[in-house]
Amino acid sequence: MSAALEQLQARFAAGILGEDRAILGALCAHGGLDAAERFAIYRDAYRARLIDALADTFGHTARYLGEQRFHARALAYVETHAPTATSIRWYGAQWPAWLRRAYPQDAATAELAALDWALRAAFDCADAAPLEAAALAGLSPQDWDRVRFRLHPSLRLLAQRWNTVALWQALDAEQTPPAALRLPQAGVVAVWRRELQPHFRTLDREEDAALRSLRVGAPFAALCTRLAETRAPQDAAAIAGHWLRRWLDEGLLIGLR
Amino acid sequence: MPRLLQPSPGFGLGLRPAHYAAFLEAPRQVDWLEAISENYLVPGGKPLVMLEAMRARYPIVLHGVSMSIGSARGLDARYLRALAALAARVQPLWISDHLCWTGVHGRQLHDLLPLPYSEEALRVVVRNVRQAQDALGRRLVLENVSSYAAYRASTMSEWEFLAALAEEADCLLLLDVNNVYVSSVNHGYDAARFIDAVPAARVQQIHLAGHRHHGTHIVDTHDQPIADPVWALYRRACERFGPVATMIERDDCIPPLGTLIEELDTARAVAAGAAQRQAA
Repeated sequence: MSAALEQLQARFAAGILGEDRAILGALCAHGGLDAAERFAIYRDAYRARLIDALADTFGHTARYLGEQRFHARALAYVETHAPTATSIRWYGAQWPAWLRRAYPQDAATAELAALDWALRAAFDCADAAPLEAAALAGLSPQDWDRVRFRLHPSLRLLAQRWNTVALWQALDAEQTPPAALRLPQAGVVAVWRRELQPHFRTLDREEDAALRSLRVGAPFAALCTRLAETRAPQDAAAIAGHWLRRWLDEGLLIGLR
Repeated sequence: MPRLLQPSPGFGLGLRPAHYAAFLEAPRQVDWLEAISENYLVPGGKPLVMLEAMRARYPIVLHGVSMSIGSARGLDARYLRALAALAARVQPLWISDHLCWTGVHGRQLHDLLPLPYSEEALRVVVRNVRQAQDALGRRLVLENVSSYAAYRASTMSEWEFLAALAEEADCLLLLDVNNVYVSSVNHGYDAARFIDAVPAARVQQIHLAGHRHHGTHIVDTHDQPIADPVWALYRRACERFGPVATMIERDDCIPPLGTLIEELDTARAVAAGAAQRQAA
């Protein structure tokens, strides 16, 4: 019943996404514009809108690259990545990974884009009320042997091989970013949302491993045991206690399981 | 059978994040707000908290951009379910989207693309509107879009298509006066004819916005104040339709809220002038 309309829409889309010009035969010319000029308004608007969406989501990355380089890379992505999500909000999900593949000599930019994306994802991620410290007050020593924590759904742990955090912070303050530098040792940045505000901070390897183990359901006691393998018992207990307080303060924990 | 139109809530603005703080700070001379549905079809966080805060202060209308009511293949049931869930939470006065299509075969073009005004397209849109109205449990309000291209396959005018659609699908209309003007220049028809032909009994809402003139054509940019010919058309619409919920859309070069409220006051004055002339 709607075969002709479906074919028309497929041709229109093909003309916007690529170089197919079959759609032009279906369009009228009028006034000062022929069919190709009219269709070009849609082709150009499609690219401009998606590039704007990338600039909005990846604001720090765009500032870091500068207008021309950002535009060139964004356009190259747009030409090869048709949106598939209903909302334009999700356009750019593959941009960080694509940047890494397309510009292997510039891995810092890809890492910066991954940080921008994680912050945007944290911004409108599902809500979860933070765990109150009082909820732990009644736990017995036996409870502490098996207690597991649920982490905030927004938490992302991003590998950092470059001084991405320093770049992001300088760009956020509208200052000239430092030169991209490879870190002597790879690190990790945690990104999450606390109340309505996305946050991030760098983690050392031990805390990264601890959060990863909690995320897959390991009991808190297991993480203390692991710490005690490499540290004096009182140091291990102090570190675990410090983490726990900090995670509670930062809203990283949302419940027990 | 409930009556066709809801009474006009007055003069509203498009809710934009740039104005959240100003709306929270103090009551504003704005009667209602139109929220872009997709901005709030997110899992959680600030957007939904802000929408709840606005809802506590102003009546809300939900205005979507990606239902793709003209899709030959039919509507995305997942999108309709998500929109119905948002509506259950927000309790909007009504839900609107555009008479257009936005994607095909899994590709989303994120634009309001024109339909041919043909019997085939009319059947498709009527079918899709019924699907949407069933899913949402209410009449859908559909907006005429700005267009830059027209199809050889069209067999009727845009206003004839709109009128037939509203009647056959039993839906309501959002008359975008700026879009009427933009399309009238781009396609060389008389904008007044469009206004005069719209089925008045089904016009639930009016949009006003600014555009950019490129000499050979006009682009619907929402980044400018409303242009004089659009005010003139709005006057004509007010004279024809009487009091209709009217709002201003601004999506780029967004000025302070006070500036938009001044522009909204112009709309109030135009509507009041039209009402006086009708009464005289």
